[in-house]
Amino acid sequence: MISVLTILLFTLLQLIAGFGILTLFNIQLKPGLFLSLSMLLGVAVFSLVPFILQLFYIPLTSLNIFLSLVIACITLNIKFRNGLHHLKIIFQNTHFKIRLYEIPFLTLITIIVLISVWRCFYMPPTPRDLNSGAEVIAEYAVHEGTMINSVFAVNLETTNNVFKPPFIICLQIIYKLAGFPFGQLWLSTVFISFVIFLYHAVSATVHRLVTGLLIICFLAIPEMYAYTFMVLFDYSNAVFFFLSLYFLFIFFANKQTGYLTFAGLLMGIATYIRSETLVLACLVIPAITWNNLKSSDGFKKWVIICLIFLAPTLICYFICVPVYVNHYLPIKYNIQNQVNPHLLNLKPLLTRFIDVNRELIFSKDGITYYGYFIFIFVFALALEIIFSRRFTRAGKNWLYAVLVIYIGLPILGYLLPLLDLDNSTKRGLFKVFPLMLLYMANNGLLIKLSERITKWEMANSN
Amino acid sequence: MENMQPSSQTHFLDKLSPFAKKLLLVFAGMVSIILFFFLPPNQDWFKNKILAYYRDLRTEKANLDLEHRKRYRFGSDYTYSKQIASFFEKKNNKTSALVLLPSTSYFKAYGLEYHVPEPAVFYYFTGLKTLWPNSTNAADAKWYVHASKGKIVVDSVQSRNVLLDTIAAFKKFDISL
Repeated sequence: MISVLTILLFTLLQLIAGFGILTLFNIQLKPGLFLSLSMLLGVAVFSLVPFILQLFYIPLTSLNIFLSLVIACITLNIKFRNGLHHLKIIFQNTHFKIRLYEIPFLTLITIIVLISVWRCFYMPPTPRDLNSGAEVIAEYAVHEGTMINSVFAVNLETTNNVFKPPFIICLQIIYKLAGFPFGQLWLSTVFISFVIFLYHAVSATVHRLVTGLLIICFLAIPEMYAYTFMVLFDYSNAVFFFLSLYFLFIFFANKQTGYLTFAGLLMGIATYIRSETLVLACLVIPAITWNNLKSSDGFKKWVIICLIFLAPTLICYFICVPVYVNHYLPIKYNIQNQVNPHLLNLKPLLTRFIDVNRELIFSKDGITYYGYFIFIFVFALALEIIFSRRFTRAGKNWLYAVLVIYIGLPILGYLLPLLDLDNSTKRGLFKVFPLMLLYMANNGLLIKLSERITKWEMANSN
Repeated sequence: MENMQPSSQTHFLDKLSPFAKKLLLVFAGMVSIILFFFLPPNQDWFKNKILAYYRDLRTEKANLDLEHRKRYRFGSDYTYSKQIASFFEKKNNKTSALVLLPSTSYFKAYGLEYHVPEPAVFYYFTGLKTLWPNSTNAADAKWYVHASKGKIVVDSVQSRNVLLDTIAAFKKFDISL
């Protein structure tokens, strides 16, 4: 009972914190998107609080952490009144309605989600990358009040996981201190909120029947589903990477700086979760450039937009890696040594690109890992090319986003050989699935089909 | 005549009442779900994961003990590691002991199915600091673990030479994660 109350309290705090951030950036969304996004942002705020305390060497006690969380929630809500006004308007203009034909999909989605939540609660943290890094540090941080703890006195020659950014460590500390010995339940919050967000984002463009089916296809990606209850960096990283692009593409359409800054912030959070996201963020720049050229905004504005978008990413990378790893941790970790020293030899890049396609995507293993999701995407793309011969504007954006991951992961493997194919790249591909999903939601043919279904559904029968 | 057929069909669908249309959409949704899970990989995933996890859940909710859940998830990696740590707990020197552990392949050669956790994971499981034979500071160990008569035995290091011989012997077995 106490556990349930704690989770409810955390959910409320996360909602408030996320609500505050959305208000600060003046982000206007429909309730389903707004509330789910608030939750996700709340988790991100939670993940930053113990890290900030650690940077100032403030002991990570229950009192300090929970007090700081409350202070963070209050501070982020300095524009609370504006936010409340906006919330009133969006709720007044929205009628929450579940259509009869959504019920089979929603029932199945709920079953899939609840099973994940149970396993997240019941099973102890499992992945080796977690237990030899973030989890062990979090476990001893709870006892010793610091993330720089006795773990660093252990022989760590077999792992570099202790040098990864402290996103998971911080969340694990909070949830362990709150009485969940395995932590982890924050991942269920991320998972549930993300599914709700995707459901609403997809249903904004296609019929809810199509939405339900697409979301089921997305949930049934075996490898990705497994990481909704096995804590690791990649699922959360995929979520925030996707969200960043979602709001960047809205900025392309509405030109409101708040959305651009917000997209940059989300990319910063993605980088805080996995530092190599920095490279992928840079690969988004051609999309900004193309959009800038189309708008004829000029070079100066292009520079400003790029800076706004990349600044949070660069700041997060700088604090997590050069500052925290090099100046706080008692063991030295030479990041330069991890970079491929033969960057002029492009053969490994080509090899990695071929391997990703041959072993992870177009292979029997690929189907075991990711089901038919990639093939469904390719099918939808092929149909649009053959029958429509043109893409929607949003569709083009999402296709470029897919390309960023498709090209970006081999580039990352080439730059950082430690990012292997069987683990890092396999899980790194999680980032591509929400992007593919949103492409399908903006596929011209599916939109036309949806319009026809809606028209037929709404037509009066005489 | 060819054009007549589709137009009469459309006419029939248009004539349906709003509720009948919704029912038809429910039917279409259910058929699409069934078809989706009819595909072999999706079917496997649903049977071997979702349904299997659901079956597990029914027994799991009766076993909420934390230690049970760890043993259940980590298996022998965890139970053997805890056994080794309990030796030091009894001696009251768990926090100060530094223990040399042979590799998984060593235990396998001696008939023990013990996947030896790396030092960081061992510390997570037990709070005991360990070293592997290929660790740069392996010679700092004050204790070492070995197999004898199908059992795991903990011994103290009597002399540096004996320890170096032990490390050399352990290194003959493949050491990997």
